[in-house]
Amino acid sequence: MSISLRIPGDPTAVRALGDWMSRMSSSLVEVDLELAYVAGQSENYLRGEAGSAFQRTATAVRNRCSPAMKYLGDASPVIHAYANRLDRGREDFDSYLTQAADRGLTVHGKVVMEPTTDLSACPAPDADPQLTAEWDAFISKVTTYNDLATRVGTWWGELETWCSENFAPLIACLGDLSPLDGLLGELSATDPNKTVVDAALETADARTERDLAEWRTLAQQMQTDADTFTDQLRSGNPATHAAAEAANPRAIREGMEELLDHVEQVSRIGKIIPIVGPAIEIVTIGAAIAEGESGSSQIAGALGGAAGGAAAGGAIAAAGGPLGWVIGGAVVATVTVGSAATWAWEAWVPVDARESIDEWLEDGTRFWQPPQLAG
Amino acid sequence: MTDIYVDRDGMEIRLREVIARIDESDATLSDLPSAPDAGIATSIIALIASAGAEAAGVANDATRGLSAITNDVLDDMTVKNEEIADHIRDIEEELDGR
Repeated sequence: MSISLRIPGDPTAVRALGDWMSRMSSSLVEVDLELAYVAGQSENYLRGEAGSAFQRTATAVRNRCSPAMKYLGDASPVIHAYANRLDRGREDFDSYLTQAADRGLTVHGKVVMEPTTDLSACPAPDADPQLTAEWDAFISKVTTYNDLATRVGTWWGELETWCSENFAPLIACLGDLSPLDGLLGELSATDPNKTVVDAALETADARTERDLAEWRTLAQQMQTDADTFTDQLRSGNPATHAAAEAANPRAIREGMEELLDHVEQVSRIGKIIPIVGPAIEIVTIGAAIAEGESGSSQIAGALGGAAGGAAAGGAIAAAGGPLGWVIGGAVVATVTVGSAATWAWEAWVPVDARESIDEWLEDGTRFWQPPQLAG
Repeated sequence: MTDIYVDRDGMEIRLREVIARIDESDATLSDLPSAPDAGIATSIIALIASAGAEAAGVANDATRGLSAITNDVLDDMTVKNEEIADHIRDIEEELDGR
Protein backbone atom coordinates (compact mmCIF):
# COMPACT_ATOMS: atom_id res chain seq x y z
CA MET A 1 0.00 0.00 0.00
CA SER A 2 1.19 3.52 -0.75
CA ILE A 3 0.01 7.13 -0.99
CA SER A 4 0.39 9.13 -4.18
CA LEU A 5 1.04 12.83 -3.69
CA ARG A 6 0.61 13.64 -7.33
CA ILE A 7 -1.98 16.30 -8.15
CA PRO A 8 -3.11 16.03 -11.77
CA GLY A 9 -3.50 19.26 -13.68
CA ASP A 10 -1.46 22.10 -15.13
CA PRO A 11 -2.03 25.25 -13.01
CA THR A 12 -0.10 27.44 -15.46
CA ALA A 13 -2.34 26.37 -18.34
CA VAL A 14 -5.47 26.79 -16.19
CA ARG A 15 -4.33 30.28 -15.22
CA ALA A 16 -3.69 31.10 -18.89
CA LEU A 17 -7.29 30.18 -19.65
CA GLY A 18 -8.47 32.39 -16.77
CA ASP A 19 -6.37 35.24 -18.17
CA TRP A 20 -7.94 34.73 -21.58
CA MET A 21 -11.44 34.81 -20.11
CA SER A 22 -10.62 38.11 -18.42
CA ARG A 23 -9.21 39.57 -21.66
CA MET A 24 -12.19 38.28 -23.63
CA SER A 25 -14.61 39.87 -21.17
CA SER A 26 -12.71 43.18 -21.37
CA SER A 27 -12.73 43.19 -25.17
CA LEU A 28 -16.49 42.56 -25.18
CA VAL A 29 -16.85 45.51 -22.82
CA GLU A 30 -14.88 47.63 -25.32
CA VAL A 31 -17.24 46.62 -28.13
CA ASP A 32 -20.25 47.30 -25.95
CA LEU A 33 -18.99 50.75 -24.94
CA GLU A 34 -18.24 51.71 -28.54
CA LEU A 35 -21.73 50.65 -29.62
CA ALA A 36 -23.19 52.55 -26.67
CA TYR A 37 -21.32 55.71 -27.75
CA VAL A 38 -22.55 55.37 -31.32
CA ALA A 39 -26.11 54.71 -30.14
CA GLY A 40 -25.96 57.72 -27.84
CA GLN A 41 -24.66 59.95 -30.62
CA SER A 42 -26.71 58.45 -33.46
CA GLU A 43 -29.24 61.25 -33.38
CA ASN A 44 -26.42 63.65 -34.32
CA TYR A 45 -26.08 61.75 -37.60
CA LEU A 46 -29.54 60.32 -38.17
CA ARG A 47 -31.95 62.86 -36.83
CA GLY A 48 -35.60 62.10 -36.30
CA GLU A 49 -36.99 58.59 -36.28
CA ALA A 50 -33.96 57.01 -37.93
CA GLY A 51 -31.69 58.12 -35.08
CA SER A 52 -34.00 56.96 -32.30
CA ALA A 53 -34.72 53.67 -34.11
CA PHE A 54 -31.01 52.96 -34.33
CA GLN A 55 -30.57 53.89 -30.68
CA ARG A 56 -33.32 51.47 -29.59
CA THR A 57 -32.04 48.67 -31.85
CA ALA A 58 -28.44 49.08 -30.72
CA THR A 59 -29.60 49.06 -27.10
CA ALA A 60 -31.56 45.85 -27.73
CA VAL A 61 -28.47 44.21 -29.25
CA ARG A 62 -26.32 45.42 -26.34
CA ASN A 63 -28.78 44.02 -23.80
CA ARG A 64 -28.89 40.66 -25.55
CA CYS A 65 -25.05 40.50 -25.80
CA SER A 66 -24.21 41.67 -22.28
CA PRO A 67 -24.52 38.22 -20.57
CA ALA A 68 -21.43 37.06 -22.51
CA MET A 69 -19.10 39.64 -20.95
CA LYS A 70 -20.58 39.13 -17.50
CA TYR A 71 -20.29 35.35 -17.67
CA LEU A 72 -16.64 35.45 -18.74
CA GLY A 73 -15.88 38.17 -16.18
CA ASP A 74 -17.48 36.15 -13.36
CA ALA A 75 -15.78 32.90 -14.38
CA SER A 76 -12.24 34.27 -14.70
CA PRO A 77 -11.47 34.78 -10.95
CA VAL A 78 -12.90 31.34 -10.15
CA ILE A 79 -10.59 29.74 -12.70
CA HIS A 80 -7.64 31.67 -11.21
CA ALA A 81 -8.63 30.60 -7.69
CA TYR A 82 -8.73 26.97 -8.81
CA ALA A 83 -5.25 27.26 -10.36
CA ASN A 84 -3.98 28.82 -7.11
CA ARG A 85 -5.52 25.93 -5.17
CA LEU A 86 -3.66 23.41 -7.30
CA ASP A 87 -0.43 25.34 -6.78
CA ARG A 88 -0.86 25.53 -3.00
CA GLY A 89 -1.76 21.84 -2.88
CA ARG A 90 1.39 20.93 -4.77
CA GLU A 91 3.45 23.13 -2.48
CA ASP A 92 2.03 21.35 0.58
CA PHE A 93 2.37 17.90 -0.96
CA ASP A 94 5.98 18.51 -1.98
CA SER A 95 6.67 19.57 1.60
CA TYR A 96 5.04 16.34 2.83
CA LEU A 97 7.32 14.32 0.55
CA THR A 98 10.39 15.94 2.09
CA GLN A 99 9.06 15.51 5.62
CA ALA A 100 8.12 11.87 4.97
CA ALA A 101 11.63 11.10 3.69
CA ASP A 102 13.19 12.96 6.63
CA ARG A 103 11.17 10.79 9.01
CA GLY A 104 12.39 7.57 7.47
CA LEU A 105 9.51 6.72 5.15
CA THR A 106 10.42 5.35 1.72
CA VAL A 107 9.59 7.82 -1.04
CA HIS A 108 9.63 6.99 -4.76
CA GLY A 109 9.05 10.11 -6.81
CA LYS A 110 5.67 11.40 -5.62
CA VAL A 111 4.69 8.15 -3.89
CA VAL A 112 5.17 7.43 -0.18
CA MET A 113 5.38 3.73 0.67
CA GLU A 114 3.70 2.22 3.71
CA PRO A 115 6.26 1.63 6.51
CA THR A 116 7.28 -1.95 7.26
CA THR A 117 9.27 -3.68 10.00
CA ASP A 118 11.06 -6.98 10.43
CA LEU A 119 9.69 -7.20 13.96
CA SER A 120 6.74 -9.53 14.18
CA ALA A 121 5.29 -7.94 17.34
CA CYS A 122 5.80 -5.21 19.90
CA PRO A 123 8.85 -6.08 22.02
CA ALA A 124 8.25 -6.97 25.70
CA PRO A 125 9.08 -4.31 28.33
CA ASP A 126 12.33 -6.11 29.21
CA ALA A 127 13.38 -6.65 25.58
CA ASP A 128 16.66 -5.52 24.05
CA PRO A 129 16.61 -1.65 24.01
CA GLN A 130 17.69 -1.72 20.37
CA LEU A 131 14.57 -3.72 19.48
CA THR A 132 12.42 -1.33 21.51
CA ALA A 133 13.97 1.67 19.73
CA GLU A 134 13.41 -0.03 16.38
CA TRP A 135 9.76 -0.62 17.27
CA ASP A 136 9.29 2.96 18.46
CA ALA A 137 10.77 4.25 15.18
CA PHE A 138 8.40 2.02 13.26
CA ILE A 139 5.38 3.29 15.23
CA SER A 140 6.51 6.86 14.60
CA LYS A 141 6.62 6.15 10.85
CA VAL A 142 3.15 4.60 11.02
CA THR A 143 1.87 7.73 12.76
CA THR A 144 3.41 9.94 10.08
CA TYR A 145 2.08 7.72 7.30
CA ASN A 146 -1.46 7.68 8.72
CA ASP A 147 -1.41 11.45 9.23
CA LEU A 148 -0.24 11.86 5.65
CA ALA A 149 -3.04 9.59 4.38
CA THR A 150 -5.61 11.66 6.28
CA ARG A 151 -4.18 14.98 5.08
CA VAL A 152 -4.09 13.84 1.46
CA GLY A 153 -7.65 12.51 1.65
CA THR A 154 -8.86 15.69 3.34
CA TRP A 155 -7.21 17.85 0.70
CA TRP A 156 -8.90 15.94 -2.10
CA GLY A 157 -12.26 15.96 -0.36
CA GLU A 158 -12.01 19.69 0.23
CA LEU A 159 -10.99 20.29 -3.38
CA GLU A 160 -14.06 18.40 -4.58
CA THR A 161 -16.28 20.38 -2.23
CA TRP A 162 -14.69 23.62 -3.40
CA CYS A 163 -15.36 22.65 -7.01
CA SER A 164 -19.02 22.01 -6.22
CA GLU A 165 -19.34 25.35 -4.40
CA ASN A 166 -17.60 27.40 -7.07
CA PHE A 167 -18.12 25.67 -10.40
CA ALA A 168 -21.71 24.54 -9.94
CA PRO A 169 -22.97 28.16 -9.78
CA LEU A 170 -21.14 28.93 -13.03
CA ILE A 171 -22.76 25.92 -14.64
CA ALA A 172 -26.13 27.12 -13.33
CA CYS A 173 -25.44 30.56 -14.85
CA LEU A 174 -25.07 29.07 -18.33
CA GLY A 175 -28.81 29.70 -18.52
CA ASP A 176 -28.06 33.44 -18.39
CA LEU A 177 -26.59 33.16 -21.90
CA SER A 178 -30.05 32.41 -23.35
CA PRO A 179 -30.66 35.99 -24.60
CA LEU A 180 -27.90 35.41 -27.18
CA ASP A 181 -29.88 32.56 -28.67
CA GLY A 182 -31.19 33.40 -32.13
CA LEU A 183 -29.85 36.96 -32.06
CA LEU A 184 -28.00 36.72 -35.35
CA GLY A 185 -30.97 35.03 -37.02
CA GLU A 186 -33.27 37.84 -35.92
CA LEU A 187 -30.91 40.46 -37.33
CA SER A 188 -30.84 38.50 -40.61
CA ALA A 189 -34.58 37.83 -40.74
CA THR A 190 -35.05 39.42 -44.17
CA ASP A 191 -33.23 38.19 -47.27
CA PRO A 192 -31.43 41.49 -47.95
CA ASN A 193 -30.21 41.69 -44.34
CA LYS A 194 -29.14 38.06 -44.41
CA THR A 195 -27.02 38.70 -47.49
CA VAL A 196 -25.38 41.71 -45.84
CA VAL A 197 -24.73 39.94 -42.53
CA ASP A 198 -23.39 36.79 -44.21
CA ALA A 199 -21.01 38.89 -46.29
CA ALA A 200 -19.85 40.86 -43.24
CA LEU A 201 -19.09 37.69 -41.29
CA GLU A 202 -17.45 35.99 -44.22
CA THR A 203 -15.06 38.86 -44.77
CA ALA A 204 -14.20 39.23 -41.09
CA ASP A 205 -10.78 37.65 -41.28
CA ALA A 206 -10.16 37.46 -37.56
CA ARG A 207 -13.40 35.60 -36.82
CA THR A 208 -12.64 32.38 -35.03
CA GLU A 209 -13.45 29.12 -36.75
CA ARG A 210 -12.39 27.00 -33.82
CA ASP A 211 -14.38 23.85 -33.25
CA LEU A 212 -15.36 24.15 -29.60
CA ALA A 213 -16.88 20.65 -29.49
CA GLU A 214 -13.47 19.20 -30.40
CA TRP A 215 -11.90 21.44 -27.74
CA ARG A 216 -14.30 19.99 -25.14
CA THR A 217 -13.72 16.43 -26.33
CA LEU A 218 -9.99 16.80 -25.72
CA ALA A 219 -10.73 18.13 -22.24
CA GLN A 220 -13.03 15.16 -21.61
CA GLN A 221 -10.16 12.75 -22.23
CA MET A 222 -8.02 14.54 -19.64
CA GLN A 223 -10.97 14.47 -17.23
CA THR A 224 -11.19 10.69 -17.59
CA ASP A 225 -7.49 10.38 -16.71
CA ALA A 226 -7.96 12.56 -13.61
CA ASP A 227 -11.04 10.55 -12.52
CA THR A 228 -9.09 7.30 -12.84
CA PHE A 229 -6.33 8.78 -10.68
CA THR A 230 -8.67 9.93 -7.88
CA ASP A 231 -10.55 6.61 -7.89
CA GLN A 232 -7.26 4.76 -7.45
CA LEU A 233 -6.17 7.20 -4.75
CA ARG A 234 -9.31 6.46 -2.73
CA SER A 235 -9.26 2.72 -3.24
CA GLY A 236 -5.55 2.53 -2.38
CA ASN A 237 -5.79 3.66 1.23
CA PRO A 238 -8.74 3.38 3.66
CA ALA A 239 -7.55 6.38 5.71
CA THR A 240 -7.32 8.55 2.59
CA HIS A 241 -10.74 7.37 1.51
CA ALA A 242 -12.28 8.08 4.94
CA ALA A 243 -10.72 11.55 5.15
CA ALA A 244 -11.90 12.44 1.65
CA GLU A 245 -15.41 11.26 2.50
CA ALA A 246 -15.38 13.29 5.71
CA ALA A 247 -14.29 16.44 3.90
CA ASN A 248 -16.78 15.99 1.09
CA PRO A 249 -20.30 15.02 2.16
CA ARG A 250 -21.72 12.17 0.11
CA ALA A 251 -24.68 14.21 -1.15
CA ILE A 252 -22.39 16.85 -2.64
CA ARG A 253 -20.13 14.22 -4.10
CA GLU A 254 -22.98 12.36 -5.75
CA GLY A 255 -24.36 15.63 -7.08
CA MET A 256 -21.01 16.50 -8.65
CA GLU A 257 -20.68 13.00 -10.14
CA GLU A 258 -24.10 13.43 -11.71
CA LEU A 259 -23.09 16.86 -12.98
CA LEU A 260 -19.88 15.46 -14.49
CA ASP A 261 -21.84 12.70 -16.23
CA HIS A 262 -24.09 15.29 -17.84
CA VAL A 263 -21.16 17.57 -18.70
CA GLU A 264 -19.68 14.62 -20.60
CA GLN A 265 -22.87 14.37 -22.68
CA VAL A 266 -22.96 18.10 -23.36
CA SER A 267 -19.26 18.10 -24.31
CA ARG A 268 -20.11 16.21 -27.49
CA ILE A 269 -22.66 18.81 -28.60
CA GLY A 270 -21.47 21.25 -31.26
CA LYS A 271 -23.04 24.30 -29.61
CA ILE A 272 -24.12 25.11 -26.05
CA ILE A 273 -26.35 28.00 -27.17
CA PRO A 274 -29.32 27.60 -27.42
CA ILE A 275 -29.53 26.13 -23.93
CA VAL A 276 -31.74 23.14 -24.70
CA GLY A 277 -31.86 19.38 -23.99
CA PRO A 278 -28.81 18.12 -22.03
CA ALA A 279 -27.62 21.71 -21.52
CA ILE A 280 -30.83 22.48 -19.60
CA GLU A 281 -30.20 19.43 -17.42
CA ILE A 282 -26.71 20.56 -16.42
CA VAL A 283 -28.02 24.04 -15.63
CA THR A 284 -30.67 22.47 -13.40
CA ILE A 285 -28.21 20.17 -11.64
CA GLY A 286 -25.70 23.01 -11.25
CA ALA A 287 -28.35 25.20 -9.64
CA ALA A 288 -29.38 22.37 -7.28
CA ILE A 289 -25.89 21.88 -5.86
CA ALA A 290 -24.80 25.54 -5.92
CA GLU A 291 -24.65 26.24 -2.20
CA GLY A 292 -22.13 26.60 0.69
CA GLU A 293 -19.94 29.37 2.14
CA SER A 294 -16.20 29.81 2.42
CA GLY A 295 -14.37 29.96 5.73
CA SER A 296 -13.45 33.61 5.28
CA SER A 297 -17.06 34.65 4.70
CA GLN A 298 -18.13 32.81 7.84
CA ILE A 299 -15.50 34.65 9.86
CA ALA A 300 -16.52 37.98 8.37
CA GLY A 301 -20.13 37.14 9.28
CA ALA A 302 -19.30 35.98 12.80
CA LEU A 303 -17.33 39.12 13.49
CA GLY A 304 -19.99 41.29 11.89
CA GLY A 305 -20.57 44.80 13.15
CA ALA A 306 -18.18 47.72 12.78
CA ALA A 307 -15.96 46.59 15.66
CA GLY A 308 -15.87 43.03 14.43
CA GLY A 309 -15.05 44.15 10.93
CA ALA A 310 -12.26 46.36 12.20
CA ALA A 311 -10.95 43.48 14.26
CA ALA A 312 -10.96 41.10 11.32
CA GLY A 313 -9.46 43.61 8.91
CA GLY A 314 -6.87 44.76 11.39
CA ALA A 315 -5.93 41.22 12.36
CA ILE A 316 -5.39 40.24 8.76
CA ALA A 317 -3.46 43.35 7.89
CA ALA A 318 -1.42 43.72 11.08
CA ALA A 319 -0.29 40.12 10.94
CA GLY A 320 0.93 40.59 7.40
CA GLY A 321 -1.79 38.62 5.66
CA PRO A 322 -1.63 37.90 1.94
CA LEU A 323 -3.04 41.17 0.73
CA GLY A 324 -2.18 43.18 3.81
CA TRP A 325 -3.85 46.47 4.40
CA VAL A 326 -5.65 46.56 1.07
CA ILE A 327 -7.96 43.71 1.99
CA GLY A 328 -7.83 44.63 5.65
CA GLY A 329 -9.11 48.05 4.70
CA ALA A 330 -11.84 46.52 2.56
CA VAL A 331 -13.06 44.48 5.53
CA VAL A 332 -13.02 47.48 7.85
CA ALA A 333 -14.75 49.66 5.29
CA THR A 334 -17.48 47.26 4.32
CA VAL A 335 -18.35 45.23 7.41
CA THR A 336 -21.35 46.60 9.25
CA VAL A 337 -23.60 43.76 10.39
CA GLY A 338 -23.32 39.98 10.15
CA SER A 339 -25.13 39.12 6.94
CA ALA A 340 -24.12 42.37 5.29
CA ALA A 341 -20.52 41.59 6.21
CA THR A 342 -20.70 38.23 4.51
CA TRP A 343 -22.33 39.75 1.47
CA ALA A 344 -19.75 42.53 1.21
CA TRP A 345 -16.89 40.14 1.71
CA GLU A 346 -18.05 37.86 -1.08
CA ALA A 347 -19.31 40.61 -3.37
CA TRP A 348 -16.34 42.95 -3.13
CA VAL A 349 -13.36 40.68 -2.68
CA PRO A 350 -12.73 38.42 -5.71
CA VAL A 351 -12.78 34.69 -5.03
CA ASP A 352 -9.09 34.28 -5.89
CA ALA A 353 -8.13 36.92 -3.27
CA ARG A 354 -10.55 35.40 -0.71
CA GLU A 355 -8.94 32.03 -1.35
CA SER A 356 -5.49 33.33 -0.43
CA ILE A 357 -6.86 34.78 2.78
CA ASP A 358 -8.83 31.62 3.62
CA GLU A 359 -5.67 29.61 3.29
CA TRP A 360 -3.76 32.00 5.51
CA LEU A 361 -6.49 32.02 8.17
CA GLU A 362 -6.68 28.25 8.14
CA ASP A 363 -2.97 27.80 8.51
CA GLY A 364 -1.27 30.84 10.01
CA THR A 365 2.08 29.10 9.80
CA ARG A 366 2.06 29.12 6.00
CA PHE A 367 4.42 32.03 5.59
CA TRP A 368 7.21 30.73 7.77
CA GLN A 369 6.81 26.96 7.62
CA PRO A 370 4.66 24.44 5.76
CA PRO A 371 2.05 22.25 7.56
CA GLN A 372 3.86 19.70 9.70
CA LEU A 373 3.16 15.97 9.59
CA ALA A 374 2.66 14.08 12.86
CA GLY A 375 5.09 11.47 14.10
CA MET B 1 -40.20 67.15 -46.04
CA THR B 2 -39.40 64.05 -44.02
CA ASP B 3 -35.69 63.78 -44.76
CA ILE B 4 -34.70 66.05 -41.90
CA TYR B 5 -30.98 65.35 -41.76
CA VAL B 6 -28.72 62.41 -42.56
CA ASP B 7 -24.96 62.61 -42.01
CA ARG B 8 -24.05 59.37 -43.72
CA ASP B 9 -20.29 59.90 -43.58
CA GLY B 10 -20.33 60.79 -39.89
CA MET B 11 -22.36 57.72 -38.99
CA GLU B 12 -20.19 55.44 -41.12
CA ILE B 13 -17.05 56.76 -39.45
CA ARG B 14 -18.55 55.99 -36.04
CA LEU B 15 -19.62 52.51 -37.16
CA ARG B 16 -16.09 51.83 -38.43
CA GLU B 17 -14.89 52.42 -34.87
CA VAL B 18 -17.36 49.77 -33.67
CA ILE B 19 -16.07 47.37 -36.34
CA ALA B 20 -12.48 48.06 -35.22
CA ARG B 21 -13.39 47.06 -31.65
CA ILE B 22 -15.11 43.90 -32.94
CA ASP B 23 -12.02 43.01 -34.99
CA GLU B 24 -9.92 43.32 -31.83
CA SER B 25 -12.42 41.26 -29.88
CA ASP B 26 -12.48 38.56 -32.58
CA ALA B 27 -8.67 38.50 -32.47
CA THR B 28 -8.84 37.89 -28.71
CA LEU B 29 -11.43 35.18 -29.32
CA SER B 30 -9.14 33.41 -31.75
CA ASP B 31 -6.43 33.44 -29.04
CA LEU B 32 -8.43 30.95 -26.96
CA PRO B 33 -5.72 28.73 -25.45
CA SER B 34 -5.69 24.96 -25.86
CA ALA B 35 -7.96 23.10 -23.46
CA PRO B 36 -5.92 22.95 -20.22
CA ASP B 37 -5.40 19.87 -18.08
CA ALA B 38 -7.28 21.09 -15.00
CA GLY B 39 -7.27 17.77 -13.14
CA ILE B 40 -10.62 16.81 -11.68
CA ALA B 41 -12.27 19.99 -12.99
CA THR B 42 -11.04 19.69 -16.58
CA SER B 43 -14.35 18.97 -18.30
CA ILE B 44 -16.29 21.50 -16.20
CA ILE B 45 -13.77 24.28 -16.87
CA ALA B 46 -13.73 23.35 -20.56
CA LEU B 47 -17.51 23.60 -20.69
CA ILE B 48 -17.56 26.97 -18.90
CA ALA B 49 -14.80 28.44 -21.08
CA SER B 50 -16.15 27.10 -24.35
CA ALA B 51 -19.67 28.34 -23.55
CA GLY B 52 -18.17 31.76 -22.80
CA ALA B 53 -16.23 31.64 -26.08
CA GLU B 54 -19.34 30.67 -28.00
CA ALA B 55 -21.33 33.49 -26.39
CA ALA B 56 -18.54 35.97 -27.15
CA GLY B 57 -18.57 34.87 -30.80
CA VAL B 58 -22.33 35.35 -31.06
CA ALA B 59 -22.07 38.79 -29.42
CA ASN B 60 -19.32 39.89 -31.81
CA ASP B 61 -21.15 38.53 -34.85
CA ALA B 62 -24.43 40.18 -33.85
CA THR B 63 -22.78 43.56 -33.31
CA ARG B 64 -20.92 43.22 -36.60
CA GLY B 65 -24.19 42.26 -38.28
CA LEU B 66 -26.01 45.31 -36.92
CA SER B 67 -23.17 47.57 -38.06
CA ALA B 68 -23.11 46.00 -41.53
CA ILE B 69 -26.88 46.35 -42.02
CA THR B 70 -26.81 49.98 -40.88
CA ASN B 71 -23.88 50.73 -43.18
CA ASP B 72 -25.66 49.04 -46.05
CA VAL B 73 -28.74 51.19 -45.57
CA LEU B 74 -26.62 54.34 -45.34
CA ASP B 75 -24.69 53.35 -48.48
CA ASP B 76 -27.87 53.61 -50.52
CA MET B 77 -27.89 57.32 -51.34
CA THR B 78 -31.47 57.14 -52.66
CA VAL B 79 -32.86 56.12 -49.27
CA LYS B 80 -34.26 58.96 -47.19
CA ASN B 81 -34.29 59.37 -43.44
CA GLU B 82 -37.81 57.97 -43.10
CA GLU B 83 -36.88 54.87 -45.09
CA ILE B 84 -33.74 54.40 -43.03
CA ALA B 85 -35.96 54.57 -39.95
CA ASP B 86 -38.34 51.97 -41.43
CA HIS B 87 -35.47 49.65 -42.20
CA ILE B 88 -33.98 49.86 -38.71
CA ARG B 89 -37.44 49.52 -37.15
CA ASP B 90 -37.85 46.21 -39.00
CA ILE B 91 -34.77 44.87 -37.19
CA GLU B 92 -36.03 46.29 -33.91
CA GLU B 93 -39.32 44.46 -34.33
CA GLU B 94 -37.51 41.19 -35.01
CA LEU B 95 -35.47 41.65 -31.82
CA ASP B 96 -38.57 42.53 -29.81
CA GLY B 97 -40.51 39.60 -31.21
CA ARG B 98 -38.73 36.88 -29.30
